[in-house]
Amino acid sequence: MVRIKNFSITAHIDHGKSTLADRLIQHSHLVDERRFKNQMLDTMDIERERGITIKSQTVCLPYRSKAGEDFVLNLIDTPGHVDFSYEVSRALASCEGVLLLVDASQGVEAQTMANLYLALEHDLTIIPVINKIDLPSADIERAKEMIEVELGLDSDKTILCSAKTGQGVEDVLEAIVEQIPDPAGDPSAPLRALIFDAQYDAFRGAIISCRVVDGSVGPGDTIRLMSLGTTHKVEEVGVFKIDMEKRKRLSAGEVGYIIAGIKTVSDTRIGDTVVLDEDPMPPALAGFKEVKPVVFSSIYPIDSDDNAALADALEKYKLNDASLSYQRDSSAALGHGFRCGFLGMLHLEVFQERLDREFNQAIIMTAPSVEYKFILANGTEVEVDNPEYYPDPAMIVKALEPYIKATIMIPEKYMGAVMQLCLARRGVNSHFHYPTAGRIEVFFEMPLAEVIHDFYDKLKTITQGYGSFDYDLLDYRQDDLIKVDILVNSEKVDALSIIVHKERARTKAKLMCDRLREEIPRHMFKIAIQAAVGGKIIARSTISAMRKDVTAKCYGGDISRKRKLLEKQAKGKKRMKSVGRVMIPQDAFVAVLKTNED
Amino acid sequence: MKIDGSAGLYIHIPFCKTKCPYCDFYSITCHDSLTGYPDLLIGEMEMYRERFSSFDTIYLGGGTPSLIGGEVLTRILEKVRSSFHIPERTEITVEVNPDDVGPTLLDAWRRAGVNRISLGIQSFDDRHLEFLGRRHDGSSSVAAIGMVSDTGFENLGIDLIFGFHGQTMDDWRDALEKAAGLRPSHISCYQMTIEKGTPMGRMLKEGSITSPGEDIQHDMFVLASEFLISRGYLHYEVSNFALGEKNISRHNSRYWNHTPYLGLGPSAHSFDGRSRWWNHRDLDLYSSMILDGELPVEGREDLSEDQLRLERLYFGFRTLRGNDFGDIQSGKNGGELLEKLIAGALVTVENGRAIPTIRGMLFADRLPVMVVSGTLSLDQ
Repeated sequence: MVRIKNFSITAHIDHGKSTLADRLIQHSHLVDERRFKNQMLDTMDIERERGITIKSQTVCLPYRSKAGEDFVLNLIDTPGHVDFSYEVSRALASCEGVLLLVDASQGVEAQTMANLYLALEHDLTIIPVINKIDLPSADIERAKEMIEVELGLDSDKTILCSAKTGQGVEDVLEAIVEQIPDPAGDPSAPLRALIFDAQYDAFRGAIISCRVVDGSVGPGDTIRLMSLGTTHKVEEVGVFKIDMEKRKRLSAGEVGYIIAGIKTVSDTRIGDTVVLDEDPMPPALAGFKEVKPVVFSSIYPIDSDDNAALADALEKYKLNDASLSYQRDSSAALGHGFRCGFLGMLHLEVFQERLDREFNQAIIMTAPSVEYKFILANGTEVEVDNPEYYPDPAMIVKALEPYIKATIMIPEKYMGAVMQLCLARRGVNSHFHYPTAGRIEVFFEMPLAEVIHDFYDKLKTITQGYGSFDYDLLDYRQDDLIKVDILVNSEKVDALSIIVHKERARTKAKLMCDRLREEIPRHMFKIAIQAAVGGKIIARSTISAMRKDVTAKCYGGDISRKRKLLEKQAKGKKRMKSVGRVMIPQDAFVAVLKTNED
Repeated sequence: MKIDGSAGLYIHIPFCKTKCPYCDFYSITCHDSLTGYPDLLIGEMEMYRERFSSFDTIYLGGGTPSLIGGEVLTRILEKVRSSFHIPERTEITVEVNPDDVGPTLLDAWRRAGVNRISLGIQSFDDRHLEFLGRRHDGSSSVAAIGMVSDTGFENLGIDLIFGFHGQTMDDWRDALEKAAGLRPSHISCYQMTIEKGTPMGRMLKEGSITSPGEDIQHDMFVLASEFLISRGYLHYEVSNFALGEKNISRHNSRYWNHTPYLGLGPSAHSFDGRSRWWNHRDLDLYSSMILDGELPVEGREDLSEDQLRLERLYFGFRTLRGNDFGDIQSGKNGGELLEKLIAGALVTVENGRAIPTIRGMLFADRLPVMVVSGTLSLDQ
């Protein structure tokens, strides 16, 4: 019987997670050298470019230990961003252990801590691994000390390796088989499998990634997805060896895939329990929740003739991204489009970029909003995620906005700056504690609207990358919320409206006007940008008219350079949307809320 | 490619006594290599004897060509004459710094065949000249113009700069009045362009100087055009005015008309009608390559039809020569574009060509982009 070990690798950014995964894959000879490429598990272009993982990937690695015993090592690669934290938690719930990677010259960093907590939460065996020991700047002793003191882990058990050179990779593999417990679970009990990911395949439909906890599943079985109550006939099961490899059955402890004629990934739920239809309903696996979008934005095709193509692209996109929600929407300024819901800002950005690249859809995206609730004079409650539908102010009895509990971990010295940032973003009820000397964990209750735009970026900047951030939705709280409209040459651009706290309205409005002045190129005429609440103007800025655009000198040595500039301008003409006579660049609609206020 | 017929010859003299704080042309202030330089030019010239046969415009620019004495200039021009066919009415221009001008030098040049002088006056105001880092003052500006005319040069061009830190509208009007009053046959009015990497570029970045702003620069441009036209000058290129068509710079027009020219010296550019190539911007490298018998070419490009069209359009919107209808109408929205340009008072139609108005010239950097991308508004 081949023993199984299920594990994940977790690390602060740039500590070498993908490189170690690559090395483990190479060691198992799963792919021949010609097919191998770096960041093997990050299959999307955007993942490779940004060096991040967005989608979970699993790979099943055969390994014969030094003692001669055969193992199957299931590596579950997880995303590293707070937007996908639920997905990550389900992937970790499918593991028994985790490799906690620490850069030998950087030592323990913010994300290392956050990852440690996540692993402890799931009761995982933690194997500290010091990576990049080949670097001249490596300080192994210091890294060991940090692991001992800051993480509270036994540094004697730390493995040293260089994923780059391959040194110590065998030790890592040995530690996995020695230290990580075999999966528990009863193969003869009724089937229970945890769904931690799903991918869409044009021919096979949704391919479920799962961890079988109890029992077994194979072709011909009828499975039931517990939360949805739907049943499907299993066509195929197997494991991921970079390519899919068919198996007769998947049994307790194994990680693999199920194909069961499920049309799209939206017909599955991450965190759901898969059972057999014939079994009396066994208890569902813990931790399932319905993931709801928290950030909303409208999208419009740049060219309004492309509406049908955009609808088509969204439908296709949705096949592989169940967390995206959308419905038809329209704007007086921008025409017909769609209102979309996202898990967070990274999710939104990834969506926009993939829509452009993979589906060739150039879109205008409006300023992201959260979902507000309004209690009206007639007693009804309305939910509003689009400022366009802000109710008549005279009718509003009570306005409510979503609050989150923010958990921020930082080295002590950044405490002042972080407090300032959180207070500026209307944070309340803060408290903090010291998990270890020199480190602080800070908790704040904050309006979600204040963190969605650029809070994470700001935090990273003021803490020089050492701050980690996570949040949970708390509740809805009453606030004084008003709508600010933007007028460009007296014409209201509904897609630029925002809902904002009354006290912050003027500052925010001024910043938006100034930002638009930067974003909108000068025209042949003067452009007035105004912000208004109701009929009252609360801020304005002006873009002066373009008077001339001509180079003074053009002789022999200037011509080529100038022509190249013109070619670039002609080619890279910004994607613009016309509002009245004014051309507004595509980026302006989202950029307008990226401010430098803090 | 062998050039049939006459081309233009540009000779770069990369030496200056001092470097002006706004200039980004290639020149050095160390003159150790000045004496050996003419031989290098002659060496480079030799290498082009197969490809060029005749030049009917010759232009010595810089740098400061007036640092080269009469004898040396004579030698260079004699070599040109013995290597290529130089027709009788060839325009031969030398750029001159006002404080280098003297009767002896001018006379020597005239005898060498120079028939057009381009004087770097820049301003008549002592304060401005000091700010611009020039070696001369206001009175020597005037004196220099007189001296050039007295020596018998009928074709005299002067350069003026406008739109720099500290210059007012009134200052500019005075400069134009003074210039037009002296009746040079050619006036160039250059708007100050501050390039990154120059001393003024750094001053602008630090904030120790400012730009007067687009509105004033626009008004100054329009003033120059309207004023000089009222004094009988032809505004024939964005920055150039001539007292009648016969005084148009024939050499510079080669650049704008896409006709062939050969550039000698470091950083000089050449064009044969299809390709452009340029020399290394380093005197030492230039020199060692010539001595090795190699062309000192740093790079070249072969222009596609689209690129040629873009350049033609660009020049067309900068000069009174204007654009061929075909160039405007051959792309997307072609027919409509021409109508828009006319309706927007950006061009007028004369003899089947689209001639830029002043307003058109003011947007000469935008119009070609608009035409090749087929957009119908300057705002896009």
